[in-house]
Amino acid sequence: MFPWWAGIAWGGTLVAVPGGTYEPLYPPDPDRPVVEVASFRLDDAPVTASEFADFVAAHPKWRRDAVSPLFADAGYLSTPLGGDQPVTRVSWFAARAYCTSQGKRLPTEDEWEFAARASETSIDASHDPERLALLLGWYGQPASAELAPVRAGDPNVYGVHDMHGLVWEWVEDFNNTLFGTDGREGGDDETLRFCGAGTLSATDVSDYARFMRVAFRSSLKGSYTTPSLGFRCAADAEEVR
Amino acid sequence: MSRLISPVLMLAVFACAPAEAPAPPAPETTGGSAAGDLGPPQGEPIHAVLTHAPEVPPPTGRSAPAKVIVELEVEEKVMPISEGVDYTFWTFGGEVPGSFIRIRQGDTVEFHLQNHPDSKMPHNIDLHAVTGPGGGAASSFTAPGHESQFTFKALNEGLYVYHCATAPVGMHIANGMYGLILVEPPEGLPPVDREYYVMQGDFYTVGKYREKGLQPFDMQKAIEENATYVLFNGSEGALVGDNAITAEVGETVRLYVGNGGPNLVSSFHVIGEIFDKVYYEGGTRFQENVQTTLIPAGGAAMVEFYVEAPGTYILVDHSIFRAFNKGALGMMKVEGDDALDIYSGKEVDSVYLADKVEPSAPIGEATAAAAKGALTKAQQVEAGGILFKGTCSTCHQDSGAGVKGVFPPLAGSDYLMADKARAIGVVINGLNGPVTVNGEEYNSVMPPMSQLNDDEVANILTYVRNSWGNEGDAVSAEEVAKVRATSERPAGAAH
Amino acid sequence: MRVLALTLLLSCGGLPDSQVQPPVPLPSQAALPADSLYTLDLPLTDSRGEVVELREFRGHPAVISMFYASCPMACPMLVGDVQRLEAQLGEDERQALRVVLVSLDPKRDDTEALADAAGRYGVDPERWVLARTDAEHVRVLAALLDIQYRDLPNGEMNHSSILTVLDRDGRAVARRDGLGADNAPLIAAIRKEVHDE
Ligand code: HEC
Ligand SMILES: [Cu+2]
Repeated sequence: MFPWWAGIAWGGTLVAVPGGTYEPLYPPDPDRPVVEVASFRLDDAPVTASEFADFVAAHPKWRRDAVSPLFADAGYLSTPLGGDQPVTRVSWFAARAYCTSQGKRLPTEDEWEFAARASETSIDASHDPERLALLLGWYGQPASAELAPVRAGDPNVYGVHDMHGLVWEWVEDFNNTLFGTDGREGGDDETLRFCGAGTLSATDVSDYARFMRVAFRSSLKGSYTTPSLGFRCAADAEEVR
Repeated sequence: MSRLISPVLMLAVFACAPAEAPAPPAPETTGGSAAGDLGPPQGEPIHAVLTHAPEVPPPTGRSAPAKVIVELEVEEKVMPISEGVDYTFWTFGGEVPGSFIRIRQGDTVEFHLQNHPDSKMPHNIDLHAVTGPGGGAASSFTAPGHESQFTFKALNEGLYVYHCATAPVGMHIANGMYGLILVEPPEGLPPVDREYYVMQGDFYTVGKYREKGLQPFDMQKAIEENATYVLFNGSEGALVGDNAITAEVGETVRLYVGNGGPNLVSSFHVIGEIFDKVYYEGGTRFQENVQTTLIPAGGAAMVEFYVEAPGTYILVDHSIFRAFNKGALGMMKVEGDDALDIYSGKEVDSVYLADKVEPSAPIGEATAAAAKGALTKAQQVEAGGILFKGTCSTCHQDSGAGVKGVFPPLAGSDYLMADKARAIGVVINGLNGPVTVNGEEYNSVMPPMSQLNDDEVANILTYVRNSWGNEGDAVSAEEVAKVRATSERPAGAAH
Repeated sequence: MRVLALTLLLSCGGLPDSQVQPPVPLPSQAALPADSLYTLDLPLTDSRGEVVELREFRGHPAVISMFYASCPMACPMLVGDVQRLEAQLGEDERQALRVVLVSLDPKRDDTEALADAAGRYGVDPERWVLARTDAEHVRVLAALLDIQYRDLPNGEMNHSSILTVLDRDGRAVARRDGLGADNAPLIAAIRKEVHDE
């Protein structure tokens, strides 16, 4: 299915995701719920634990015993590194540093969500009830179980694996959803931490899986790590010559 | 200063007042939250005692406000929701409902919410006992593997629900994220002999009621408020059999009853008892002599009753299909001397239950015997007979004769007796399309009896194959398991 | 650069001690604590076009937050909150305090825009720094200060209004979330930095 070297490549393989429009759960302007996503490239799989081990070896300041407490909490890399499972227990700062070291970057939330709508057969399966039920099933399972290796299942139409069902993933602007602060600028304040309020300004109140991803991201700080949170890198689209 | 004016006394006053008398003074109030600040906390901080349902922490026994430290851990874990059925619960304190918290009005509560590292979700807590925006929700929003802390002063006495308020809120609550916090009035609640914690909740699974296996949450059913289970204390059986709550004749029992929802309002009733007092809505005042009290989703009540007669009292949501078809049933076993002058043994509600609850003993015995490998055919027939009445007799009739042209007979059925494995298959997978029984053709649908486990199917078929003149050998659970493993489940059987 | 000026002044040993003694103890030459914000390599340029390093503020309690110059309401209010906080401090405490506001909008907030904002806000240029950094570092600083933000299609931004007090070594010691919120925890933290040894 995938090139023989995919397993040993240092980092994921970027695949092209043609741009388009999509509706974020909390659009920045509720009157214009559709936003444009420019073409970009996305790693075909989450970064694995062994890939991250290589990175840490090359950049010792990201070692567990050397990392700045500003950039990682106490759980950082507390699960042993190695293997084809997605790396977890990484902070946003560390994930970002990894992508930078490869000349890549983290995907934005819009990019990630845009690509995550795809199924094996369609670029937008976000309204398929059966798929939604499947995703909910994953979100409903505790994170204690051992993770499967990356690329174990079929890729989506872009050739991207494991957008769902394996780990949560960091995005560059994980801290873009505003709440718990002052709403006098007419923002989306307090929407997620409060009972019910979260649904008021959302575009699709039945998309529970998406709600959970947004809620999850908004619970994070840049230094946080959890056993179910990993990442993959992205890059701008290749220049058309 | 007595704040609890007896309603009876008040009634008496109203009744005797001459028509032209001035309006009676408004009933004295507690002063609400404005009077609830009883000053700064006194003494050393206290670590709150937290209990799992049905236990309740002891009274605080304090006469001054204190600083109380509450540490509550959120854990996502798979637990049985019914026999043979598992569900991924999201819990406060490892159980559903969440740990019971007991404090006193005026206490300053330092609340620590810990989200277990193995959690997949962020969570928070909205305590209805908190005065302040979000009830603590915003201040307690916690990522997996992290902890939040916030402090509040408990200004209003009463019994309050707490719950997770993380989006999508409905799903967090539907997965069991609720519990009760009791804020005692400054003088404490009147002492009783027993206190218990009971909390109702509705659950939505992809499989139908009692369909075995790990059942995922069904969002569509939740949105439609079409509950698969309605349960006390988070699982069918949490309050029955050995888990029943107990009391002795001559004791006063207080139940702290909450309703986590997410959707359904409870018509809480104890079959065979009358609540002497109901602190309705969990508030300060009580009503007396109540049969059924309404407990809204996100609400609570305290009910008290004195028990006169021994026996088993059944706790139900009197929206009664929930009790018999969705699991909203609990038991209180009262021991002591018979009080035949008070209770003769005939009470309408308990007759209502007699079919289902009382004779279930042989089923339990058969299960126990099977586990020991000592199950006899006679035990199977006895247990199977009870199960047959509950499961098959509506269609095939108690007599096994069926209904001509619609439900084929089991008594004397050649189809049944000819092929044991096939009969097992019929029960597990259902049957539709033409079938000839004793020379007569039937063309109808029997739904799969997917709520039955292997033991139950074995016992029923042993009964059926050895009743009404049928004579056959016993059917074992292993034989059922074999058929279950090999046969294709018809499409749609899960729905 | 300010630190340089201070160092020069200090090295003119002729002056009596009392006159050069800054209102707080001298910046320690010891290594920074690991959780100090001053360990960051954050390239800042202030409203005079000068390069600023966060660690120049070492030795002072500081209030740090983020804003953007064209912000119509929340940022002027936030600045007002800090000015109100300053008014609640004693003179020595106020003199010791540094205020650092970093722009969330590097695209539009050039030196000129920052200078214009400083003028509009009427801030004390000796103790306040309005600065910009590049987009990469905006996300980093925001993440460290737990500030959430995003661009709105109308050119405005959604952002949280969080004030953080840094101790003399650049560690976050107090935090206030929301406009018009109580300044008391911030004031207590600042006083502690000024008066405690
Ligand atoms: C909802 C009604 C209904 C219930 C409940 C039901 N059945 Fe049936 N059963 C039927 C119908 C209808 C058929 C005939 C189906 C056909 O025409 O294809 C049938 C057929 C059968 C047959 C094969 C035909 C025969 O008469 O031998 C057996 C055996 C059987 N049922 C056993 C059971 C047992 C045991 C139970 C309880 C566990 C049960 N059924 C519960 C409706 C029911
Ligand atoms: Cu929750």
